[in-house]
Amino acid sequence: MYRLRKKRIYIRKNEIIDSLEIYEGEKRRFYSYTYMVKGKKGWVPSVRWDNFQQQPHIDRYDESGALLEQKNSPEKELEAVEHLVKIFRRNLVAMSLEDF
Amino acid sequence: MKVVIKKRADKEYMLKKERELKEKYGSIDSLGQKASIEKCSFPALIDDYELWKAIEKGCEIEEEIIFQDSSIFRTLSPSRIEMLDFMSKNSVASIKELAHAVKRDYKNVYFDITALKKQELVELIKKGRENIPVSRIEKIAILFD
Repeated sequence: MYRLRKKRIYIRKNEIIDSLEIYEGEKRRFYSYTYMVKGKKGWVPSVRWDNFQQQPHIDRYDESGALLEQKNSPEKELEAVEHLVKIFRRNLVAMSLEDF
Repeated sequence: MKVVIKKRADKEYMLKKERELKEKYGSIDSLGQKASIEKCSFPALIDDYELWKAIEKGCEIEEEIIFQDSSIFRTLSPSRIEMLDFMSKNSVASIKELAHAVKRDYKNVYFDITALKKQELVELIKKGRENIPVSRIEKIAILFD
């Protein structure tokens, strides 16, 4: 049985984490956690963790939402991402996050 | 503290979501190809692809909006909560009909619906010339942790 869990977490008024998790039974098959900041044209991705095609990685974007870099990263849980975002917020984009 | 808003995702919602994805991308295969090629530039494609795959497999959906403080209560006034309560139990054909049902002025109800839509607490479904207000909220919880 597939179960999809979608969450939008407001960190501040202009900062959110959009989370999408898909479970098959108890096993998490897919996750994406996107830290987004509200810009002039709406929500712009800033940092994103996902495991698309079973390749856990982290993407970093500039202020316009264009990809800056993509690096491998260990599998992440939403709680860990939420914790990181709450501590570092907009500074995340300038940090080396692949070891976190 | 946290304010957790839980949304209902019934069969009708899943069908609507599937229709929207079909209109936007054509087929799941073309979206899959697009997601593989443009996954870096447009990460939302990946989420839409995984969402569509899960819907096709008949998944259950749990949806929540979480606020880390009480700021949402600037939007959730008593009259707006009453309106959400009404919409969760009844369906209306237009904002005008909703205003009539909750015995309030159309202009004020329209203003309230716009504010609730901004926070994604209400959806407006276009049908002909009407915008049908729909609320999928089934629970609002305040957690002190």
